[in-house]
Amino acid sequence: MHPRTDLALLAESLAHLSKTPYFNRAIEKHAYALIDVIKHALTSSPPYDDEILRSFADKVWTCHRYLQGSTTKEAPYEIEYCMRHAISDWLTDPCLVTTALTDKKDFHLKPGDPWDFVAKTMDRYTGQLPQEKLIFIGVPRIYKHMPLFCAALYHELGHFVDLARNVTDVTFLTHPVHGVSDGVQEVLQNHRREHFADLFAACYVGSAIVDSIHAINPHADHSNTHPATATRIEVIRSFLAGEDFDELSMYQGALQKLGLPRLEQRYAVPAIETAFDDIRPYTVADTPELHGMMAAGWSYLGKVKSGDGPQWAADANQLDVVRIVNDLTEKSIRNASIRSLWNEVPQ
Amino acid sequence: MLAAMPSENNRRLELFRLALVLIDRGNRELPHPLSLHFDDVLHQARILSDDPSAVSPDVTPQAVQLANDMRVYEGLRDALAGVNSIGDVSQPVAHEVLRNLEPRLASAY
Repeated sequence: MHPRTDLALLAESLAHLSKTPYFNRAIEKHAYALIDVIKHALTSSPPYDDEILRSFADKVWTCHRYLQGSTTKEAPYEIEYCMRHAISDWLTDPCLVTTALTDKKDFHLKPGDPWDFVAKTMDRYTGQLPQEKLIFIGVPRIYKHMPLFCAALYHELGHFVDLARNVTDVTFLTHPVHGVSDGVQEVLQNHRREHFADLFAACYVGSAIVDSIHAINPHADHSNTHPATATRIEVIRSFLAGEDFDELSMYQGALQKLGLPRLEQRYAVPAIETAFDDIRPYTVADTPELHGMMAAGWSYLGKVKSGDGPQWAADANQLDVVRIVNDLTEKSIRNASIRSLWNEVPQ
Repeated sequence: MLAAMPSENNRRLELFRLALVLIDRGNRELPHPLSLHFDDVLHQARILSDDPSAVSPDVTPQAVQLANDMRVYEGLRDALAGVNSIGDVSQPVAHEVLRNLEPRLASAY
């Protein structure tokens, strides 16, 4: 469709979305700003070049998809909550996380913020643009209440930080690879990005990222886009064991040059056994424990699977156990968020 | 996902490319902020391309991407030779730079 037609249709749909009962106020502000910029783009004289409108329409399409996801009361609040805490470690700009549920095993976390594009291309727009950057999360629908299976999002957050600050591309400036074809260069870039994202995830969820990678594809060999699973797990294990190795030093050097934090453990594994054995949520003490719920939950699942779990698990089928442990994890995170909000209220 | 990288990886140079596309389409007046962005990315990329150790917290991701591309791809380096700001970009130059950016951008979609 022509971008002008798409923009008009998207503005209508955004206006409709903003009237739905579950619309979050912070997100509503972005929807109204999008509608206003679209109105400006379509009525401006002289008109903006179609190439500007086409790129802008693509961005509005993306925003629309995720803003829509945030109106359905289906957003995985607990996962967004964990992501918000991790994002704040790396980005100083205020961010607004929005989610779309996906219908396949597709986790993603990407920047899609339209406001920088608008500021740089629609210089005749005089309205105020939102300050928060929009960050879009994709979570498989069937995992929306399975936070432990969403540990992979920390890997995606690693890609997101890499994209936002170009960490691995800096390593190609500091540690270039000479004398290889364009194709091999691209493979090497992809592999460095995957290793970085794995190490990043390990900072927050520890060995849970090994469990996630192993669960998804335990025997994957090297491909153009990904290193072999065995290689990835070896790199993560070395990092978690506190070993120094060249690849880790390369990433730490790039992060230091960019003024970003080091790759290091940012979680504390909470002792959830007593609470979970009684089928009670655990009381999360602080942010490191919040991230540590992933490692603790995976470890607890492993314990149950090996027959070393509580009495209630012995009588339940495997799917019920998985559901209950994820449910307890979800409630533990939810309670932590409610306590945090409560503590922020002036007494 | 734990599978492929998102295509945003290759969209880092989107605004840099857009400036070139607009010139290639015959636009004479670019939005001023877009012109400044083009100049800034090119200026930083040149510095990084000449001295890769010059990375600092102020360096933009776009400049890092362009610097790497300029170091690896000779055609892009040649196409940008003599360009110090957007004012130096004629329609044929824009076309040539885009031709050397396009293959890698196109492969992402």
